[in-house]
Amino acid sequence: MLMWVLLGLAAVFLPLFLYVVARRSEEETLRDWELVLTPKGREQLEAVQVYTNTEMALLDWTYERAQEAERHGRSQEALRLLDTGCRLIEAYCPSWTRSLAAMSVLSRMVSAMADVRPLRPRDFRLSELAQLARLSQFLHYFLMTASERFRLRLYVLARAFGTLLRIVARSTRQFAPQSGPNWETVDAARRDVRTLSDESIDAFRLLLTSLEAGRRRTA
Amino acid sequence: MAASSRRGPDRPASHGKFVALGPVRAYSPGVAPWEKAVLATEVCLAAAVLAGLIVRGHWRSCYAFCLYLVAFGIFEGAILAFPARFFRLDFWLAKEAVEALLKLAVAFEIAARIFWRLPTARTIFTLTFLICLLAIAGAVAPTVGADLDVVASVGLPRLLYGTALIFAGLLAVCLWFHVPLYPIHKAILVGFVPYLVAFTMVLQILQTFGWDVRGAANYLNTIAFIALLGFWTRAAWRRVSVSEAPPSVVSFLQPWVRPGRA
Repeated sequence: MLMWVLLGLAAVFLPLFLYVVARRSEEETLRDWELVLTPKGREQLEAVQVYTNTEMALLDWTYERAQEAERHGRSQEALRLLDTGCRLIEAYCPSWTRSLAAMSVLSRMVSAMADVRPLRPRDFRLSELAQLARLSQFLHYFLMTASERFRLRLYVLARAFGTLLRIVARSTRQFAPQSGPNWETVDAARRDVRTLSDESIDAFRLLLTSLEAGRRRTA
Repeated sequence: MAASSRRGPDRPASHGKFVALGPVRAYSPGVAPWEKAVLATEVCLAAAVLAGLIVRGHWRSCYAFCLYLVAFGIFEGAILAFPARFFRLDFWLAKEAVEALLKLAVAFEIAARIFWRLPTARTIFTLTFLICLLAIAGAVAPTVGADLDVVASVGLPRLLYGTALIFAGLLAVCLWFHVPLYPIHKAILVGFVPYLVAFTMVLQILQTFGWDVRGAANYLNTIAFIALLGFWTRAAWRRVSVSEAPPSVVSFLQPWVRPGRA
Protein backbone atom coordinates (compact mmCIF):
# COMPACT_ATOMS: atom_id res chain seq x y z
CA MET A 1 0.00 0.00 0.00
CA LEU A 2 2.82 2.36 0.93
CA MET A 3 4.42 1.84 -2.47
CA TRP A 4 1.16 2.82 -4.18
CA VAL A 5 0.99 5.98 -2.07
CA LEU A 6 4.59 6.81 -3.00
CA LEU A 7 3.91 6.12 -6.66
CA GLY A 8 0.78 8.27 -6.48
CA LEU A 9 2.79 11.14 -5.01
CA ALA A 10 5.39 10.72 -7.75
CA ALA A 11 2.68 10.71 -10.43
CA VAL A 12 1.28 13.98 -9.05
CA PHE A 13 4.48 15.91 -8.42
CA LEU A 14 6.88 14.48 -10.99
CA PRO A 15 5.35 16.12 -14.11
CA LEU A 16 5.41 19.51 -12.41
CA PHE A 17 8.98 19.00 -11.22
CA LEU A 18 10.19 17.85 -14.64
CA TYR A 19 8.40 20.79 -16.27
CA VAL A 20 10.31 23.21 -14.02
CA VAL A 21 13.60 21.44 -14.77
CA ALA A 22 12.98 21.35 -18.52
CA ARG A 23 11.89 24.98 -18.63
CA ARG A 24 15.12 26.24 -17.07
CA SER A 25 17.70 27.54 -19.54
CA GLU A 26 21.10 26.08 -18.69
CA GLU A 27 22.85 28.70 -20.80
CA GLU A 28 21.22 31.53 -18.84
CA THR A 29 22.04 29.79 -15.57
CA LEU A 30 25.66 29.50 -16.66
CA ARG A 31 25.73 33.20 -17.53
CA ASP A 32 24.33 34.09 -14.10
CA TRP A 33 27.50 32.65 -12.62
CA GLU A 34 29.50 35.39 -14.33
CA LEU A 35 28.47 37.64 -11.50
CA VAL A 36 30.01 35.21 -9.03
CA LEU A 37 33.12 34.09 -10.85
CA THR A 38 34.27 37.20 -12.70
CA PRO A 39 34.81 40.89 -11.81
CA LYS A 40 31.45 41.55 -13.44
CA GLY A 41 29.83 41.47 -10.00
CA ARG A 42 31.81 44.50 -8.80
CA GLU A 43 31.13 46.31 -12.07
CA GLN A 44 27.44 45.59 -11.62
CA LEU A 45 27.55 46.94 -8.06
CA GLU A 46 29.14 50.18 -9.25
CA ALA A 47 26.59 50.49 -12.05
CA VAL A 48 23.75 49.97 -9.55
CA GLN A 49 25.18 52.63 -7.25
CA VAL A 50 25.47 55.13 -10.11
CA TYR A 51 21.94 54.33 -11.30
CA THR A 52 20.49 54.66 -7.79
CA ASN A 53 22.28 57.94 -7.12
CA THR A 54 21.01 59.35 -10.40
CA GLU A 55 17.45 58.26 -9.71
CA MET A 56 17.56 59.64 -6.16
CA ALA A 57 19.02 62.95 -7.34
CA LEU A 58 16.28 63.24 -9.93
CA LEU A 59 13.66 62.44 -7.31
CA ASP A 60 15.06 65.03 -4.88
CA TRP A 61 15.23 67.64 -7.63
CA THR A 62 11.61 66.99 -8.64
CA TYR A 63 10.44 67.17 -5.03
CA GLU A 64 12.32 70.41 -4.33
CA ARG A 65 10.96 72.02 -7.52
CA ALA A 66 7.44 70.94 -6.50
CA GLN A 67 7.87 72.52 -3.06
CA GLU A 68 9.18 75.69 -4.64
CA ALA A 69 6.21 75.82 -7.02
CA GLU A 70 3.84 75.30 -4.09
CA ARG A 71 5.53 78.11 -2.13
CA HIS A 72 5.08 80.45 -5.10
CA GLY A 73 1.40 79.53 -5.41
CA ARG A 74 1.78 77.48 -8.62
CA SER A 75 -0.27 74.54 -7.34
CA GLN A 76 -0.88 72.99 -10.75
CA GLU A 77 2.83 72.87 -11.49
CA ALA A 78 3.55 71.49 -7.99
CA LEU A 79 1.03 68.72 -8.54
CA ARG A 80 2.46 67.92 -11.93
CA LEU A 81 6.00 67.71 -10.51
CA LEU A 82 4.88 65.58 -7.57
CA ASP A 83 3.09 63.30 -9.98
CA THR A 84 6.31 62.99 -12.02
CA GLY A 85 8.25 62.16 -8.83
CA CYS A 86 5.76 59.48 -7.88
CA ARG A 87 5.95 58.00 -11.36
CA LEU A 88 9.74 57.91 -11.01
CA ILE A 89 9.34 55.86 -7.84
CA GLU A 90 6.78 53.63 -9.52
CA ALA A 91 9.21 52.92 -12.35
CA TYR A 92 12.16 52.48 -10.01
CA CYS A 93 10.76 50.04 -7.41
CA PRO A 94 10.02 47.04 -9.67
CA SER A 95 13.62 46.94 -10.93
CA TRP A 96 14.79 46.56 -7.32
CA THR A 97 12.20 43.89 -6.63
CA ARG A 98 13.58 41.86 -9.58
CA SER A 99 17.18 42.45 -8.47
CA LEU A 100 16.39 41.31 -4.93
CA ALA A 101 14.83 38.10 -6.26
CA ALA A 102 17.98 37.45 -8.33
CA MET A 103 20.14 38.15 -5.26
CA SER A 104 18.13 35.61 -3.29
CA VAL A 105 18.94 32.95 -5.90
CA LEU A 106 22.62 33.94 -5.95
CA SER A 107 22.79 33.82 -2.15
CA ARG A 108 22.23 30.04 -2.29
CA MET A 109 25.62 29.71 -3.95
CA VAL A 110 27.35 31.24 -0.95
CA SER A 111 29.10 28.74 1.30
CA ALA A 112 29.47 31.11 4.26
CA MET A 113 27.62 34.39 4.55
CA ALA A 114 28.83 37.24 6.73
CA ASP A 115 26.27 37.99 9.43
CA VAL A 116 23.66 40.58 8.58
CA ARG A 117 21.95 43.04 10.87
CA PRO A 118 18.16 43.33 10.80
CA LEU A 119 16.44 46.36 9.28
CA ARG A 120 15.86 49.15 11.81
CA PRO A 121 12.27 50.44 12.14
CA ARG A 122 13.50 53.92 13.09
CA ASP A 123 15.13 54.31 9.66
CA PHE A 124 11.71 54.41 8.00
CA ARG A 125 9.23 57.29 7.91
CA LEU A 126 6.21 55.44 6.59
CA SER A 127 4.50 53.49 9.37
CA GLU A 128 3.79 50.50 7.07
CA LEU A 129 7.50 50.10 6.33
CA ALA A 130 8.46 50.61 9.97
CA GLN A 131 6.06 47.81 10.92
CA LEU A 132 7.57 45.55 8.28
CA ALA A 133 11.04 46.31 9.64
CA ARG A 134 9.82 45.54 13.16
CA LEU A 135 8.47 42.19 11.99
CA SER A 136 11.74 41.38 10.22
CA GLN A 137 13.66 42.32 13.37
CA PHE A 138 11.51 39.88 15.32
CA LEU A 139 11.87 37.03 12.79
CA HIS A 140 15.60 37.67 12.40
CA TYR A 141 16.33 36.14 15.80
CA PHE A 142 14.39 32.98 15.06
CA LEU A 143 16.59 32.08 12.13
CA MET A 144 19.62 29.91 12.65
CA THR A 145 22.03 30.72 9.83
CA ALA A 146 23.37 33.91 8.34
CA SER A 147 22.19 32.79 4.89
CA GLU A 148 18.60 32.44 6.12
CA ARG A 149 18.81 35.87 7.75
CA PHE A 150 20.18 37.33 4.56
CA ARG A 151 17.34 35.85 2.52
CA LEU A 152 14.83 37.17 5.06
CA ARG A 153 16.35 40.62 4.65
CA LEU A 154 16.02 40.36 0.87
CA TYR A 155 12.43 39.18 1.19
CA VAL A 156 11.53 42.04 3.55
CA LEU A 157 13.23 44.57 1.27
CA ALA A 158 11.28 43.27 -1.72
CA ARG A 159 8.03 43.44 0.26
CA ALA A 160 8.93 46.95 1.41
CA PHE A 161 9.47 48.10 -2.18
CA GLY A 162 6.10 46.60 -3.07
CA THR A 163 4.39 48.35 -0.15
CA LEU A 164 6.05 51.63 -1.04
CA LEU A 165 4.87 51.25 -4.61
CA ARG A 166 1.28 50.77 -3.46
CA ILE A 167 1.45 53.81 -1.14
CA VAL A 168 2.88 55.99 -3.90
CA ALA A 169 0.31 54.76 -6.42
CA ARG A 170 -2.45 55.52 -3.89
CA SER A 171 -1.15 59.03 -3.21
CA THR A 172 -0.88 59.73 -6.96
CA ARG A 173 -4.55 58.86 -7.36
CA GLN A 174 -5.42 61.11 -4.42
CA PHE A 175 -3.78 64.21 -5.92
CA ALA A 176 -6.72 66.49 -6.53
CA PRO A 177 -6.62 70.23 -7.14
CA GLN A 178 -9.18 70.95 -4.42
CA SER A 179 -7.66 68.84 -1.58
CA GLY A 180 -3.97 69.30 -2.43
CA PRO A 181 -1.24 66.69 -2.16
CA ASN A 182 -0.26 64.92 1.04
CA TRP A 183 3.23 66.41 1.27
CA GLU A 184 4.08 64.44 4.35
CA THR A 185 3.44 61.05 2.73
CA VAL A 186 5.28 61.98 -0.46
CA ASP A 187 8.28 63.23 1.51
CA ALA A 188 8.29 60.07 3.67
CA ALA A 189 8.09 57.89 0.57
CA ARG A 190 10.96 59.83 -1.02
CA ARG A 191 13.16 59.30 2.05
CA ASP A 192 12.16 55.66 2.45
CA VAL A 193 12.92 54.79 -1.14
CA ARG A 194 16.44 56.07 -0.52
CA THR A 195 16.74 54.02 2.68
CA LEU A 196 15.50 50.90 0.91
CA SER A 197 17.92 51.48 -1.98
CA ASP A 198 20.84 51.93 0.41
CA GLU A 199 19.91 48.77 2.30
CA SER A 200 19.58 46.86 -0.98
CA ILE A 201 22.98 48.06 -2.20
CA ASP A 202 24.44 47.01 1.15
CA ALA A 203 22.89 43.58 0.70
CA PHE A 204 24.37 43.33 -2.80
CA ARG A 205 27.80 44.34 -1.50
CA LEU A 206 27.57 41.76 1.28
CA LEU A 207 26.53 39.10 -1.20
CA LEU A 208 29.46 39.85 -3.52
CA THR A 209 31.92 39.82 -0.60
CA SER A 210 30.59 36.45 0.58
CA LEU A 211 30.66 35.02 -2.95
CA GLU A 212 34.25 36.20 -3.46
CA ALA A 213 35.31 34.74 -0.11
CA GLY A 214 33.71 31.43 -1.05
CA ARG A 215 35.46 31.46 -4.43
CA ARG A 216 38.86 32.11 -2.81
CA ARG A 217 38.31 29.21 -0.42
CA THR A 218 37.37 26.88 -3.30
CA ALA A 219 40.24 27.94 -5.59
CA MET B 1 15.63 -4.61 -22.21
CA ALA B 2 12.75 -6.04 -24.01
CA ALA B 3 9.38 -6.27 -22.48
CA SER B 4 10.06 -9.67 -21.05
CA SER B 5 13.66 -8.98 -20.23
CA ARG B 6 13.03 -5.72 -18.43
CA ARG B 7 10.26 -7.17 -16.35
CA GLY B 8 12.05 -10.43 -16.14
CA PRO B 9 11.34 -13.85 -17.43
CA ASP B 10 7.91 -15.22 -16.85
CA ARG B 11 7.77 -16.88 -13.48
CA PRO B 12 10.64 -19.33 -13.40
CA ALA B 13 11.06 -21.78 -10.59
CA SER B 14 13.60 -20.99 -7.94
CA HIS B 15 16.02 -23.50 -9.37
CA GLY B 16 16.03 -21.82 -12.72
CA LYS B 17 13.74 -24.23 -14.50
CA PHE B 18 10.86 -22.50 -16.16
CA VAL B 19 7.34 -23.39 -15.21
CA ALA B 20 3.94 -22.64 -16.70
CA LEU B 21 3.11 -19.00 -17.18
CA GLY B 22 -0.41 -19.21 -15.96
CA PRO B 23 -3.80 -19.66 -17.46
CA VAL B 24 -3.11 -18.14 -20.85
CA ARG B 25 -0.22 -20.01 -22.39
CA ALA B 26 2.37 -22.52 -21.42
CA TYR B 27 5.93 -21.39 -21.18
CA SER B 28 8.10 -21.98 -24.18
CA PRO B 29 11.78 -21.93 -23.30
CA GLY B 30 13.11 -18.89 -25.09
CA VAL B 31 11.97 -15.44 -25.99
CA ALA B 32 8.95 -14.90 -28.23
CA PRO B 33 9.77 -13.46 -31.71
CA TRP B 34 8.17 -10.09 -31.00
CA GLU B 35 10.05 -9.92 -27.71
CA LYS B 36 13.27 -10.64 -29.56
CA ALA B 37 12.47 -7.79 -31.96
CA VAL B 38 11.87 -5.40 -29.06
CA LEU B 39 15.03 -6.59 -27.32
CA ALA B 40 17.07 -6.09 -30.50
CA THR B 41 15.60 -2.60 -30.96
CA GLU B 42 16.59 -1.67 -27.42
CA VAL B 43 20.13 -2.98 -27.84
CA CYS B 44 20.45 -1.08 -31.14
CA LEU B 45 19.15 2.12 -29.53
CA ALA B 46 21.59 1.73 -26.63
CA ALA B 47 24.39 1.28 -29.17
CA ALA B 48 23.19 4.41 -30.99
CA VAL B 49 23.32 6.37 -27.71
CA LEU B 50 26.84 5.15 -27.05
CA ALA B 51 27.94 5.91 -30.61
CA GLY B 52 26.48 9.41 -30.31
CA LEU B 53 28.32 10.02 -27.05
CA ILE B 54 31.61 8.88 -28.61
CA VAL B 55 31.22 10.73 -31.93
CA ARG B 56 30.19 14.00 -30.26
CA GLY B 57 32.80 13.61 -27.52
CA HIS B 58 30.20 13.63 -24.74
CA TRP B 59 31.47 10.34 -23.34
CA ARG B 60 33.95 12.34 -21.24
CA SER B 61 31.09 13.99 -19.39
CA CYS B 62 29.98 10.77 -17.65
CA TYR B 63 32.04 7.58 -17.79
CA ALA B 64 29.61 5.67 -15.57
CA PHE B 65 26.80 6.26 -18.03
CA CYS B 66 28.88 4.81 -20.88
CA LEU B 67 29.66 1.83 -18.66
CA TYR B 68 25.95 1.45 -17.90
CA LEU B 69 25.14 1.39 -21.63
CA VAL B 70 27.91 -1.14 -22.30
CA ALA B 71 26.73 -3.37 -19.44
CA PHE B 72 23.16 -3.09 -20.67
CA GLY B 73 24.22 -4.06 -24.19
CA ILE B 74 26.21 -7.08 -22.94
CA PHE B 75 23.44 -8.36 -20.65
CA GLU B 76 20.64 -7.89 -23.13
CA GLY B 77 22.80 -9.17 -25.98
CA ALA B 78 23.46 -12.33 -23.95
CA ILE B 79 19.73 -12.84 -23.41
CA LEU B 80 19.07 -12.23 -27.09
CA ALA B 81 21.83 -14.60 -28.24
CA PHE B 82 21.37 -17.36 -25.67
CA PRO B 83 17.81 -17.16 -24.37
CA ALA B 84 17.80 -20.73 -23.14
CA ARG B 85 20.76 -20.01 -20.91
CA PHE B 86 20.14 -16.44 -19.78
CA PHE B 87 16.38 -15.87 -19.94
CA ARG B 88 16.00 -16.78 -16.27
CA LEU B 89 14.85 -14.90 -13.24
CA ASP B 90 18.12 -15.33 -11.33
CA PHE B 91 20.14 -13.92 -14.25
CA TRP B 92 17.65 -11.14 -14.72
CA LEU B 93 17.86 -10.18 -11.03
CA ALA B 94 21.66 -10.24 -11.14
CA LYS B 95 21.51 -8.00 -14.22
CA GLU B 96 19.12 -5.58 -12.50
CA ALA B 97 21.39 -5.47 -9.44
CA VAL B 98 24.44 -4.61 -11.55
CA GLU B 99 22.46 -2.00 -13.48
CA ALA B 100 21.14 -0.51 -10.24
CA LEU B 101 24.70 -0.15 -8.97
CA LEU B 102 25.72 1.49 -12.23
CA LYS B 103 22.76 3.88 -12.01
CA LEU B 104 23.92 4.88 -8.54
CA ALA B 105 27.41 5.32 -9.97
CA VAL B 106 25.96 7.58 -12.69
CA ALA B 107 24.24 9.75 -10.07
CA PHE B 108 27.38 9.86 -7.97
CA GLU B 109 29.63 10.77 -10.90
CA ILE B 110 27.34 13.51 -12.18
CA ALA B 111 27.04 14.95 -8.66
CA ALA B 112 30.79 14.78 -8.11
CA ARG B 113 31.42 16.59 -11.38
CA ILE B 114 28.90 19.38 -10.98
CA PHE B 115 29.31 20.04 -7.26
CA TRP B 116 33.05 19.50 -7.08
CA ARG B 117 33.80 23.18 -6.62
CA LEU B 118 30.58 24.12 -4.83
CA PRO B 119 31.00 23.12 -1.18
CA THR B 120 27.51 23.98 0.08
CA ALA B 121 25.72 22.18 -2.73
CA ARG B 122 28.14 19.28 -2.38
CA THR B 123 27.39 18.91 1.33
CA ILE B 124 23.64 19.08 0.82
CA PHE B 125 23.73 16.49 -1.96
CA THR B 126 26.04 14.19 0.01
CA LEU B 127 23.53 14.23 2.86
CA THR B 128 20.62 13.59 0.47
CA PHE B 129 22.56 10.78 -1.20
CA LEU B 130 23.43 9.13 2.12
CA ILE B 131 19.87 9.40 3.45
CA CYS B 132 18.51 7.88 0.22
CA LEU B 133 21.10 5.07 0.34
CA LEU B 134 20.18 4.30 3.94
CA ALA B 135 16.48 4.37 3.06
CA ILE B 136 17.08 2.01 0.12
CA ALA B 137 19.15 -0.33 2.31
CA GLY B 138 16.46 -0.29 5.00
CA ALA B 139 13.68 -0.94 2.49
CA VAL B 140 15.46 -3.68 0.53
CA ALA B 141 17.08 -5.46 3.52
CA PRO B 142 13.98 -7.53 4.50
CA THR B 143 13.91 -9.13 1.05
CA VAL B 144 17.57 -10.14 1.04
CA GLY B 145 17.85 -13.92 1.06
CA ALA B 146 14.14 -14.34 0.33
CA ASP B 147 12.65 -16.22 -2.59
CA LEU B 148 13.58 -14.78 -6.01
CA ASP B 149 9.94 -13.93 -6.67
CA VAL B 150 9.83 -11.83 -3.50
CA VAL B 151 13.08 -10.09 -4.37
CA ALA B 152 11.74 -9.28 -7.85
CA SER B 153 8.30 -8.13 -6.78
CA VAL B 154 9.07 -6.43 -3.45
CA GLY B 155 12.78 -5.63 -3.19
CA LEU B 156 13.37 -4.40 -6.72
CA PRO B 157 10.55 -1.78 -6.82
CA ARG B 158 11.93 -0.30 -3.60
CA LEU B 159 15.43 -0.17 -5.02
CA LEU B 160 14.19 1.45 -8.24
CA TYR B 161 12.07 3.99 -6.42
CA GLY B 162 15.01 4.90 -4.19
CA THR B 163 17.25 5.33 -7.22
CA ALA B 164 14.63 7.57 -8.85
CA LEU B 165 14.58 9.65 -5.66
CA ILE B 166 18.36 10.04 -5.80
CA PHE B 167 18.18 11.30 -9.39
CA ALA B 168 15.29 13.62 -8.52
CA GLY B 169 17.20 14.83 -5.45
CA LEU B 170 20.19 15.63 -7.62
CA LEU B 171 18.00 17.66 -9.96
CA ALA B 172 16.39 19.43 -7.01
CA VAL B 173 19.77 20.41 -5.52
CA CYS B 174 20.82 21.76 -8.93
CA LEU B 175 17.65 23.84 -9.12
CA TRP B 176 17.97 25.15 -5.57
CA PHE B 177 21.62 26.14 -5.92
CA HIS B 178 21.13 27.45 -9.44
CA VAL B 179 23.82 25.10 -10.76
CA PRO B 180 23.89 24.82 -14.56
CA LEU B 181 23.57 21.31 -15.97
CA TYR B 182 25.54 20.05 -18.94
CA PRO B 183 23.03 18.96 -21.64
CA ILE B 184 24.01 15.27 -21.44
CA HIS B 185 23.74 15.27 -17.64
CA LYS B 186 20.35 16.92 -17.86
CA ALA B 187 19.17 14.35 -20.42
CA ILE B 188 20.40 11.45 -18.26
CA LEU B 189 18.71 12.77 -15.11
CA VAL B 190 15.49 13.93 -16.74
CA GLY B 191 15.27 10.58 -18.55
CA PHE B 192 16.00 8.32 -15.62
CA VAL B 193 13.57 9.85 -13.11
CA PRO B 194 10.28 9.21 -14.97
CA TYR B 195 11.49 5.91 -16.40
CA LEU B 196 12.44 4.48 -13.01
CA VAL B 197 9.09 5.58 -11.59
CA ALA B 198 7.34 3.91 -14.54
CA PHE B 199 9.37 0.71 -14.08
CA THR B 200 8.56 0.70 -10.35
CA MET B 201 4.90 1.11 -11.23
CA VAL B 202 5.06 -1.85 -13.64
CA LEU B 203 6.57 -4.10 -10.97
CA GLN B 204 4.04 -2.86 -8.44
CA ILE B 205 1.19 -3.63 -10.83
CA LEU B 206 2.53 -7.16 -11.19
CA GLN B 207 2.83 -7.52 -7.44
CA THR B 208 -0.68 -6.24 -6.78
CA PHE B 209 -2.66 -7.77 -9.64
CA GLY B 210 -0.58 -10.87 -10.28
CA TRP B 211 0.95 -12.21 -13.48
CA ASP B 212 -2.36 -12.11 -15.36
CA VAL B 213 -1.74 -8.45 -16.19
CA ARG B 214 1.81 -9.04 -17.36
CA GLY B 215 0.87 -8.23 -20.97
CA ALA B 216 -0.29 -4.70 -20.21
CA ALA B 217 2.58 -4.18 -17.76
CA ASN B 218 5.04 -5.35 -20.40
CA TYR B 219 3.67 -2.93 -23.01
CA LEU B 220 3.83 -0.03 -20.58
CA ASN B 221 7.40 -0.81 -19.65
CA THR B 222 8.55 -1.41 -23.23
CA ILE B 223 7.08 1.87 -24.40
CA ALA B 224 8.68 3.73 -21.47
CA PHE B 225 12.11 2.22 -22.05
CA ILE B 226 12.14 2.69 -25.82
CA ALA B 227 11.02 6.29 -25.31
CA LEU B 228 13.87 6.78 -22.83
CA LEU B 229 16.46 5.34 -25.24
CA GLY B 230 15.04 7.47 -28.08
CA PHE B 231 15.32 10.57 -25.90
CA TRP B 232 18.91 9.72 -24.99
CA THR B 233 19.82 8.99 -28.61
CA ARG B 234 18.59 12.43 -29.61
CA ALA B 235 20.52 14.06 -26.76
CA ALA B 236 23.70 12.09 -27.47
CA TRP B 237 23.79 12.99 -31.16
CA ARG B 238 22.86 16.62 -30.72
CA ARG B 239 25.68 19.12 -31.07
CA VAL B 240 26.17 21.19 -27.93
CA SER B 241 26.58 24.82 -28.92
CA VAL B 242 29.54 26.69 -27.47
CA SER B 243 28.45 28.62 -24.38
CA GLU B 244 28.36 32.40 -24.49
CA ALA B 245 29.53 32.53 -20.89
CA PRO B 246 33.20 33.50 -20.34
CA PRO B 247 35.63 30.54 -20.60
CA SER B 248 36.69 31.05 -16.97
CA VAL B 249 33.08 30.46 -15.84
CA VAL B 250 32.68 27.36 -18.04
CA SER B 251 36.03 25.89 -16.96
CA PHE B 252 35.11 26.44 -13.30
CA LEU B 253 31.68 24.83 -13.47
CA GLN B 254 32.15 22.33 -16.30
CA PRO B 255 35.87 21.53 -16.46
CA TRP B 256 35.30 18.48 -18.68
CA VAL B 257 34.04 20.70 -21.53
CA ARG B 258 36.75 21.32 -24.10
CA PRO B 259 36.91 24.97 -25.20
CA GLY B 260 35.25 25.47 -28.57
CA ARG B 261 34.01 21.91 -28.69
CA ALA B 262 30.60 21.58 -30.34
